[in-house]
Amino acid sequence: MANENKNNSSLRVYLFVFFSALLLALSLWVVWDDEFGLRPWKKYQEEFKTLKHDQLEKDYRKAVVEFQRSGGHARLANLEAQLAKAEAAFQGKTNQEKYKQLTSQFDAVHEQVALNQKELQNARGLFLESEYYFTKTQKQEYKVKMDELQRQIDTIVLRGEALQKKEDGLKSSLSDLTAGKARIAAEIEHMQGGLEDLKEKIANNIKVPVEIKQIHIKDIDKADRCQTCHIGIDGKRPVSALQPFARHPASFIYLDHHDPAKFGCTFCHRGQGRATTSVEKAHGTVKHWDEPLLAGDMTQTSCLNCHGDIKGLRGAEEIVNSTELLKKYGCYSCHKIPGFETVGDVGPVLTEVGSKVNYSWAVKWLLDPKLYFSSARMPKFFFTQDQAEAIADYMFSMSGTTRHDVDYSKQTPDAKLVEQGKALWSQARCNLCHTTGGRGGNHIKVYAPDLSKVGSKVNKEWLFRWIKNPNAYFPGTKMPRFRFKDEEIKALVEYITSEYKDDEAELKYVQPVEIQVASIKKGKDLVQKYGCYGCHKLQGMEEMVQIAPSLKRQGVSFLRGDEMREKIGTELSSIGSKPLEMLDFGKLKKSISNDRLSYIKQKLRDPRSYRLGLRMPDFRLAESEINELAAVLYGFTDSNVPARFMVPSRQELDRMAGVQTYKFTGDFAKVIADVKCTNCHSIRGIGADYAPDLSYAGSKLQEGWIRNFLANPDVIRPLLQQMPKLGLTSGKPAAKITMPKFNLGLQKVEDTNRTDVDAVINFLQQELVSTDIPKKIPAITTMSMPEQISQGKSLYDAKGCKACHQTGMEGGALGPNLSNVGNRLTPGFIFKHLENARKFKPDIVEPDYGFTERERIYLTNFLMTLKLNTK
Amino acid sequence: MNPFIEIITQPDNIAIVIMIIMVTFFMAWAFQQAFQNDRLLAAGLPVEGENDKFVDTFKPLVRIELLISIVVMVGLTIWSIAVDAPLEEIANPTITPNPAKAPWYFLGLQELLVYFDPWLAGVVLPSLIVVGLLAIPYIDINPKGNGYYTFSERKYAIMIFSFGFFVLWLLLIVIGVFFRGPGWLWYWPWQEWDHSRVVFEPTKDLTAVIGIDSRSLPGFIIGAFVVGSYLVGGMIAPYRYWKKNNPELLAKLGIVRYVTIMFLFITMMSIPIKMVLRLVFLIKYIWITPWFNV
Repeated sequence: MANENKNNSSLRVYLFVFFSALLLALSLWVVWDDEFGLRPWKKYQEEFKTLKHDQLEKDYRKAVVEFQRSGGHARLANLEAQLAKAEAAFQGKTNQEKYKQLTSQFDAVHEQVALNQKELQNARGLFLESEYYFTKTQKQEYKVKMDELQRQIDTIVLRGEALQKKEDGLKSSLSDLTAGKARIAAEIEHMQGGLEDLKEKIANNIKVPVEIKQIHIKDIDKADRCQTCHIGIDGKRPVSALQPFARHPASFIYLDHHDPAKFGCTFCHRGQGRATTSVEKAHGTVKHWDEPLLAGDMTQTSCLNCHGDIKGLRGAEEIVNSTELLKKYGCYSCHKIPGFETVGDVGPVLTEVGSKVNYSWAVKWLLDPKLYFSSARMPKFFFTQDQAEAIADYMFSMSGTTRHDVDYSKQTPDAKLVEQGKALWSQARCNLCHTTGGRGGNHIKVYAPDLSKVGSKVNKEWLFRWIKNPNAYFPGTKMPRFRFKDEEIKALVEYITSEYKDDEAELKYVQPVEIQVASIKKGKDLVQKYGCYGCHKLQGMEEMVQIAPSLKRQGVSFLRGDEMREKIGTELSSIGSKPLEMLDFGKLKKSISNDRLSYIKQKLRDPRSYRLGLRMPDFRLAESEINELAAVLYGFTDSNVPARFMVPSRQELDRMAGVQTYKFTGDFAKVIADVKCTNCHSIRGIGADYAPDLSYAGSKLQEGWIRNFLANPDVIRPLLQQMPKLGLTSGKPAAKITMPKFNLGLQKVEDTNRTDVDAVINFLQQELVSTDIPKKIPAITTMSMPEQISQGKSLYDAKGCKACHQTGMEGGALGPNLSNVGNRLTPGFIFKHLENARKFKPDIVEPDYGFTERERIYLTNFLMTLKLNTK
Repeated sequence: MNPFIEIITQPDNIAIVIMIIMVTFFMAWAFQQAFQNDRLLAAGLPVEGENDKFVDTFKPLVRIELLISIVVMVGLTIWSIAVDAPLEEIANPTITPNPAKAPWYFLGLQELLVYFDPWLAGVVLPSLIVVGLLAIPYIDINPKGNGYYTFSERKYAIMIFSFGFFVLWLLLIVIGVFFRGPGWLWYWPWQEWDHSRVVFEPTKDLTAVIGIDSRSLPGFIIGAFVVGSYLVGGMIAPYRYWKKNNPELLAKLGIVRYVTIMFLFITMMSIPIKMVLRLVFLIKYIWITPWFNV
């Protein structure tokens, strides 16, 4: 028993010793962990300091080498020798005696000056005292005293001036003695100064403390510690191109406009700004942190947080492009998206579609739009044959009572008409917007349909009416009304329907069949369910009942305004910060990673994959499009951005300031509504950037030239204007783009006697003018006109203008052709343009030559002589 | 990953895993010693510590406590360095986590909410637990088992305690931690948690089973009768039994101790009874009163 107890107690002692030692070791581990294990950034800062040290060392060595190479060492030795010599000369007997003598003289005079100064002070004090009593008592005795003191003061001042002169004289002779020495010493210091500074920098770098570097962003009460590792992110000189020491890319755009001290890092990049214990945690790529770091171009999505108008925003190019996709596919038609409020403007009006297309085509289209043309924007809804027919029935019932096709296969086209139509086709530059057979369609932003197979889709009567007046069928369409004569339209229709047919498809043309009422009802339900009215205008369908009286009798009604929900999809205004719990991963919970970005991408890739019963159609987006769209959607957050950060769009600012958005007025508005100039041109902020901005066309262009150009458009810029960054982008090959011929001038504007050309010119000259552009340029009276012109010509040659501009047969092709500039531009515009080319076009490539006013007058006068004789 | 392994390996649940292992180990050890001693007692042999009136504090107790405190310190230090505090996503007041679970040591009480009115499960029963624990020194009049382990000499006390602690407290915690998933639905360890799973159990009140509205007066009366007869019957039946078979025990206890013990015991036993009623017979409440439901 006792033995056992003894054994037990000695075992206890061993255990006690063992565990105590273990506890001690653990304590050391605790200290190590706290100091290094949990502070991995220390390593980075040390490394950064080493790199910086190396860089500074290198600088120093380079400076030393530079110093030596430029003979600095020899010069320094020389100067030092000179200094020693000067010192020796100064220490010489005569100089020393002279120095001593001067010094004692100087001291004596200096003392006198000081005494004099003291005397002056006393006299002035007494004077002020007397003045006070005199002012107070008005007794004459004080006045006398004042006068006496004033006299004293005057003598003292005079004496002081004389003494001062004496002192200055002595001082300068003293410094003459030491001047040579002092000058050499200063020079030596200056020579060594640069090197000393560099040395000091190295010493300072060593002293920089290793510590957490935190930015507190007051406005949003966030603390970012990113710079604890990314230590050189806002530095002037990068010490390394590798993270975490690299400098912020394009910091002149991003950091210069967004002071890191005010914005921090996570405001744009997301991530977990406060974490410092590991890279994964700081970058937010850990579980439960649902704002992982945004890197690279993806970061641009954060621009959307504050910038209301990202169009043309530097550094936001990627996201601007991506936002264009929202417009292209009309996401806002079904989903609420900030900044996009309209509905029903993506697809064409369908109210009278029965009079336009073949029934069999419509069914086929509904089944799969991409089968008709591959660039179709309409998504696939996965309708069954029955469903597609029901919807087509519903659409057709609005303008008729039958399913019907038109079969042209048995007709032979009129060859002469076709020939004539073909000429018109190219003259009107239909291919500028419409693709046919894989060619054309350069102007992508109008999303004009591919016409390669249009002959099998629409009927000739409709096509005729359409070309004659597109607004009548589809108010607000982007298709301009070309002023064709009826015969011309006939020819064009003949050409289009015979040339662009679907040869491969074996359409089973339907003979007119009465539409079933039940089918219409089914179609209506489907239209409501899938929200076709989101993209296509269906309002006003009630009226269509009148066109189909028989159906009305049968009790068929059409979709009323109140039967349409405004947006049928989920609101997307804050999809980028939607809580994960509210994203339904459904069937894919296990198979894809559960984060917002993956959710958005999967939804775009296969919209109905999460569970049964989803309605979003499949847009069949390319993977690149999915990434771009996902980037945009990811940027729609409800982050609490302080009002101070917000950059409202121009429209918003205008609205706040009560400024009306620009509106076209009068006859010009009618012409614009018809010809759709703003499809390509931008006028006062309205319209596209495809063709030159016409905001100040009235001041810029001459009337005669405008008339001529509208009648017969010609190339002004030989190279595609959309490519200012020549050779830098892999854009489309330079194509000759000219304005289509709209046949203006042949018709009068509605309700007036003026022709449309007159309306255009009138508006241009009345409205689209700038007070910045003078009507006349200043005249030079001292020089004759021919002389001025020849001066201008020599300037034109001297500055190398022809490197870019073409005149006659020679010259470059980057700038506009100037052969006819005298007829085209107003002298006032040229004069102003030469002063500051960027004033009217900020992204112009023309260099700034800094011409004087006189030179500009010469050049303008010369350019105005460049005219082609038009017949 | 299998949700069960996921749950077990979660940093939150390290404590409960350790608890299960330790409780099982010490329970087994204690019972093994108790049975060993019982065999000795049955054979009439002496048991170590049976007659000890006083034991030194310093040598047997303080030294072991010191050693154990160091071991615990070592364990806690390693644990706190190796495992970071388990945080979840940033709290969002608009989102309730599903399942919303209490701290693990309260999960047994949370489990009771499935079977009882919140007032009973959240207030009355926990209070009675505390009251019952406080009362133990006053109602335990059995002097046996001091200083040594035994089962046969303290049969009732050990059985009741084991049932209350191991089954009603720990087992319910284990159920709450490992077997309850989204919607507080029952998930076996091999089952996948499914947030959209729907289980509908049409529960009824007791009187509704026989066709009487539980909120009506007859329903109230029947409910009160059932609950009352459980309480009264639970008091009288054991009394009768012991009166016949073991009158000395009753005499030793006295009427006040007997009523206190039986009240606590009956209340404790109402928990498994109610669980069976709810799980097997889908009965929600027995007795509905305007203030609380039983």
